Amino acid sequence: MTKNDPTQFTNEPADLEEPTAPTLPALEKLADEAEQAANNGAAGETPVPASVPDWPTVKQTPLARPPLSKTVLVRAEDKVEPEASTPTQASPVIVVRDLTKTYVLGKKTQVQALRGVTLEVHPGEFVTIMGPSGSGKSTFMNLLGCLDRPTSGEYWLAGKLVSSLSNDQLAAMRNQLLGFVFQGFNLLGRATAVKNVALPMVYAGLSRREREKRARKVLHLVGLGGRMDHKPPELSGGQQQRVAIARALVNGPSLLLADEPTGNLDSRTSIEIMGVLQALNEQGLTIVLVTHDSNVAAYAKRQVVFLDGRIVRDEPVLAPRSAQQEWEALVSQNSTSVQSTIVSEEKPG
Amino acid sequence: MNRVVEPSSAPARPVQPAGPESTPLASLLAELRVRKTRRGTVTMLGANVESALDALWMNRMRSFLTALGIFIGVAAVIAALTLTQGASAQVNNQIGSLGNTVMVYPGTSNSEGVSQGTGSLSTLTPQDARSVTGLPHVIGVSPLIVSSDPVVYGNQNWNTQIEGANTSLQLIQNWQLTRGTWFSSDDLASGAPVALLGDTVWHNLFDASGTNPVGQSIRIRDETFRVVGVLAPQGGGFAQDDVVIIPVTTAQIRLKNTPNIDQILIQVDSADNVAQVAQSVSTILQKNHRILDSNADDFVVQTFSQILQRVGQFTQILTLLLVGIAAISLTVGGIGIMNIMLVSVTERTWEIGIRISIGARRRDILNQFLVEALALCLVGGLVGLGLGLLIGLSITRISQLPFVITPLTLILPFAVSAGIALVFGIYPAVLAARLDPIVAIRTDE
Repeated sequence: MTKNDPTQFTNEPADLEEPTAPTLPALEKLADEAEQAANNGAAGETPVPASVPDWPTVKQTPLARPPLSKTVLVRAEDKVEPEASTPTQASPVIVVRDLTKTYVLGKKTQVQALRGVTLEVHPGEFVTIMGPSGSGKSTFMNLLGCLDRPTSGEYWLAGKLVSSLSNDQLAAMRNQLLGFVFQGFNLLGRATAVKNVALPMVYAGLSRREREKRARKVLHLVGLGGRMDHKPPELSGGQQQRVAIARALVNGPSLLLADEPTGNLDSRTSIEIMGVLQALNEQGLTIVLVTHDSNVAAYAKRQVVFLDGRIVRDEPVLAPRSAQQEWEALVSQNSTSVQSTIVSEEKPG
Repeated sequence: MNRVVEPSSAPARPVQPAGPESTPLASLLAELRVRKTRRGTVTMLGANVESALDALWMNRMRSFLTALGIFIGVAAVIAALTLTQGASAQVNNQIGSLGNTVMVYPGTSNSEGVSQGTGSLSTLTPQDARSVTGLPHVIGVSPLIVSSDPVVYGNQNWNTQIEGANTSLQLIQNWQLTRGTWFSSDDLASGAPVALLGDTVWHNLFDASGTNPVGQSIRIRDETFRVVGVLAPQGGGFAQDDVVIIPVTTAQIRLKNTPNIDQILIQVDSADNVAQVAQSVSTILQKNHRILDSNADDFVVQTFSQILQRVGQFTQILTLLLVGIAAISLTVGGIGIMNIMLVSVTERTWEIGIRISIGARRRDILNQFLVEALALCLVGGLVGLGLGLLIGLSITRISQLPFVITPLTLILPFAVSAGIALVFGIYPAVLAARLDPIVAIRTDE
């Protein structure tokens, strides 16, 4: 099928048998459908239900999460309105005020990695943070990721003032409010996909049965239903990154932090992974993606550019790239058989 | 499914979420959100144990070699323990079998303790023995004269201990006879040249000729004695059977030519009364010997409980010595554990980074590595216990000692290996827990 695909890398044979396009729609499978699949232990494709939307059947009270508001973009040079930044009913996921970070390297050497950053990210946004090396974007990522504390300034995550928390409290924030996706996937090589995805729930104190159940559900969501019991070395790069995404989602985070998630992937798989992220975002997940690659940044809805420890540009992406469309174009270009598979899968009965 | 593929302009999906509640993903995430936190200590422990065993199994050769240090140390401790405990039990059995005996020795000037050479002072007389016979709780008294002489039968010659005693010795030392009878009180009164042979002496003198020793004549110091009986063996490694027993009067007249005796053995009816009898004996002998309160006794009263105490002290010292040597080997094993754990922490900085990023607290990381060290040590301890018991069993079998297992033997290896794990595992674990999250996360696999 895609043997002649120029973008196809030889180290990605798994994708040949299992076209990844159909897994993008898997995101749209509803929660209870995924649950059903997980309960059935179904490894393959779950029959797509009829057109009745499934979500009302999910017995879930309204979210603790505030409703989506119109994305408010705040230019770096603008003063943040106090009422806008105060976590109220339209509470932003991230509120950062005058954040600075200074590394003390020696008695006289100090590096000002961040020199007063102010930023707000609202629910449902897809923000990329760009900038050259040394621009402070990695430092900012560490602060957003609750891995480090700022030298000064405030950082509110989901209504909680993170910048004053203790180490243990920061760990709890990482566990419950954040999901990380790294360039190197950062999976435990000796554990199966399910075990990897279940790991955050260990630190949340869930029982083994519950961990397994939830992990399977989320793996279905990211379209890895058939490869749950494989270990990372047995998975392709794209599949490994999906496992990592599932792990990031498994505790129901308020924010997904992705650090060069496509850095280790070929262009074809990058489109696949960006498709997953876009699909997640379209369903309301807030994503902050750190990259130096403007091609990757073009998939987001908003770009924030760092330079010398400051935000120098913060603007919406007027016409974001659509991974879904690119993927379909790629597939139709290379093979008609794959497309027909997709079509038959997408229009059941 | 309400999903329609429509190659329209961005945004790609025609169905836009109206709000987070309405999207299935949001519902799912809300459902997944963990509200109850940090309650699962047991869960955490179980997960820690699981990942520890996982990690150890991944490096099983290394884990095996590391555990070997603990394993050998524990095995040495256990083998040493079973050995000394077996020896100690053996001594207790034998001395205990002698029953509730009070012994009186002549004093040795002012120095306290066991008499050194019964000839140094000769203060005990047969009269002393007679005077303590009537005491309450005393069921048997025998004077004792001891000498070491060659015994000759035909052309067979055997150097042995000659004990002059009375008829009560049979009761006191619990002798059985395989042949003949004990000498009579008439023999005792007349100082008749009659003798009872211990098992060892009998074999050495009579096995060559195969004759029945009873009625045969043997020679001790040029005196001719008639054998009247052969003693049943008492067993054990203390040469109790290497003895010839003759009437005490005979020993006084024919062998030593002395009015004095070397020892008095007093049998008491029960262990509870031993101390009381010893006290009474002391009082009577002080009166007999006209010793004033201010002067030192010219005799020593000793009980077997005192001797048992000494033996106990000796085996304790022996145990301490052996355990001390084993402790050194355990320390070396512990350093091995620490070394490997340090390597493991360095190797798995990447894994620690992952765990930190998904919400592990410092103490979670600490616990994980401690549990790993603990698992390593406990497995080593368990296998070491098995091997140690095996070594102990075979050595006690070979040396015909009793095989004793005390609760200490079973608990010690676990206490020791857990202790080693904590002592030598804490530093690497702390190191792991103190890793800078940022550095750990950026570390490559």
